[in-house]
Amino acid sequence: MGHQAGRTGETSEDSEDEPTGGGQNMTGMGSLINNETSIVPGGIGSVISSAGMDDGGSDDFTKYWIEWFLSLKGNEFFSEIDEEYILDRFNLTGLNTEVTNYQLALDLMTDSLEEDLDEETRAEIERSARHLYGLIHARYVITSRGLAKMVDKFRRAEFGKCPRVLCQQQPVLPCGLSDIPMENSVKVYCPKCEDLYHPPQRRHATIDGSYFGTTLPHLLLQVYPNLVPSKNGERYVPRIFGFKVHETAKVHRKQDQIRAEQEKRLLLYGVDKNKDSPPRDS
Amino acid sequence: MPRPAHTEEELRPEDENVTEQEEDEEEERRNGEGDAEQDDQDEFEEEDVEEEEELQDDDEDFSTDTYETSGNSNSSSDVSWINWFCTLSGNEYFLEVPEDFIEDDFNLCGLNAIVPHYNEALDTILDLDLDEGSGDATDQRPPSPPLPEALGRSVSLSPTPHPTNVSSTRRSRPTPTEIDQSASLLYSLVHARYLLTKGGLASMAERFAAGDFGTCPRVMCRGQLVVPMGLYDMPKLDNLRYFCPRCGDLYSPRDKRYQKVDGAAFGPTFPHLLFLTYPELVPAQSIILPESARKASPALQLPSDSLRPGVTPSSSSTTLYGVGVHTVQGSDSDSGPGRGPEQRRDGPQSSIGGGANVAAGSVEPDMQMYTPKVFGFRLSELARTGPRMGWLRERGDDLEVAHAESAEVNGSRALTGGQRTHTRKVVGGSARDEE
Ligand SMILES: [Zn+2]
Repeated sequence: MGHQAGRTGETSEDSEDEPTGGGQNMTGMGSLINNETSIVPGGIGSVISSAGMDDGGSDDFTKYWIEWFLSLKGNEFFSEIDEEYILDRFNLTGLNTEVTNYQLALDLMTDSLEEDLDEETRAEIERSARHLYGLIHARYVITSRGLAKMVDKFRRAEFGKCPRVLCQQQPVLPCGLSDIPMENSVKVYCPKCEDLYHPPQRRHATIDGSYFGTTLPHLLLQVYPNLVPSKNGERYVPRIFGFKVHETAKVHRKQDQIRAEQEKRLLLYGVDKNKDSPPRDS
Repeated sequence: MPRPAHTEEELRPEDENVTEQEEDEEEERRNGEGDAEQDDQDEFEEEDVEEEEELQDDDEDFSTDTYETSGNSNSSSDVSWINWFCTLSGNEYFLEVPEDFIEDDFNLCGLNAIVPHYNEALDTILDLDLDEGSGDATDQRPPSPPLPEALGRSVSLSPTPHPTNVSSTRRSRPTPTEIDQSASLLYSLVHARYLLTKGGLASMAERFAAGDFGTCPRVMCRGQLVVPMGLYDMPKLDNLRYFCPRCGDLYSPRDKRYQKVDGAAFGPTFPHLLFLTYPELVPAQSIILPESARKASPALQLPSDSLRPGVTPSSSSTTLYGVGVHTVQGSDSDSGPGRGPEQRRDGPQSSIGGGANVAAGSVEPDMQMYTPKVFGFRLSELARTGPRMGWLRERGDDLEVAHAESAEVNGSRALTGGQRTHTRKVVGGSARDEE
């Protein structure tokens, strides 16, 4: 269901995308890019017949399925998977049973789909290819190269910032609630408050969370511990006419106790939580 | 923030008509300043601009119909200033403060020191005749202001003219724009006071239960409805924020419209007084719900997890327990202007309890807290990057409150004053262990 919703959401946005996307591009390129984006989901047949005019344009253009996919509005969270990674079948182990039309979808994704297909089949394969890309993405982003790419996006705050006021615009990381496809949409994880939020933009609420997985943000922060923001004890204290609310104050005291006990444990085990040191392993 | 420079407009003789274009520029400048103040948040929303444009298309209806001052009697009889103000883009959360509340001087006590052109502003709000002999009231406003006009008139963080500006020009009459800004400011401050009255709280309780203010962005709050508030009583210090009664935390608006609204219009006391007055509005899982209320009222034990995409009860949008949020079906076709920002954004599938297709074990048994995992394993607390913030969402039900006096040590300001600096008292070797 999630995936289906995603599809319809995306396709409706695609059509929206055209005028705005064209406007932002250089005028010459704009129309070309628009043609591509609108044609790709349609049918390869029409592409070849129209783009075949300009010398081998179809070849050029078919190289870019991934690029096109990443450029779709709503797909900003995805990072580009290296072609070598996709071409190494070992990395795709088990995915053939997860995706219908696996081989065709893979061909389409790697721009080696030769067959001439009717619209309907083509759309189906397109869907499979997107799903497959997501599944591969989940594996790729927890490789060292994949993590590095996510770090770049994280540094540019491409996944948004924490909505919590006290986190003060801390950039967030994408995170799934499950590694099984089609269960939940993608969420964002704030490394400062260590909590999970809905992505700020509606269009990201249709992306399958399993395409990012449950591990990504935490592994990333383990591998790049210097990206872990300082965690202070800031907490919002409700006040009525300047006075603290009794019940909340009680809870806060308990929280303080829990926190103090943790600090004690950390001290006991010699974990210096305030100092940044090089990663312990790796 | 001080006004950067005297604008031409301020120094202009009073009777000169403000041309539409000049107004336009003025507005742009002001909006620009507002943007600069909240640069970070704008970045956050940058990509939403196109979506916003869609929204603003709807809003254009509001902004194009300018409010005519009372000089023009036939239009002011239809729509009062207050009525008009509350329909402006970004002002959707405002209540219409009853005129008799505003007319009561007691309720305005002290505001004349904060609001420039106080009397003119008050007259504007109450639709009293402004024209002391100068019959130019009708011409002062451009017939159809551009879109930013509405944003500027809504309560914004952009600076409004300081009284000293006026006195430097031999106390010339304030321009309509200045009066407008003052009226907005005054209304916001009166509004914050009105919210704390019985009537104000009752209206807000209703709107809260109806989901007018959207939902908490925190996943584990599972679509909990939120209320608007401000961190300060003083205007122009901070913009509107949302308070979530489930996690007891504060969130920034993601909708650009509300990022421009001054938090002082709602104030720091309002949400807490609201939930104290209407404890039934507090969800059972709330971190702020008094324990006594939690035990006493079985009605409150409604599992908020009962709301699932598949079985959304049709009446849930009006339920008082804040669980009925995701009645919105279809994530793309539901951007009505009356809906809260989060609500509009969240499709049914965004609620994590996910219905029957969520396999057992894929979500935590304890739905209050998110547990980070790497390859299915919980992160060790002893890892250097291990969890450190668990306490933040902890209600500590199984803890006895250790020492009453530690509450007083706790007295330092946490949020408004920055970091807490108190010394925590560790009491007893409680068996509490977080895995
Ligand atoms: Zn955060």
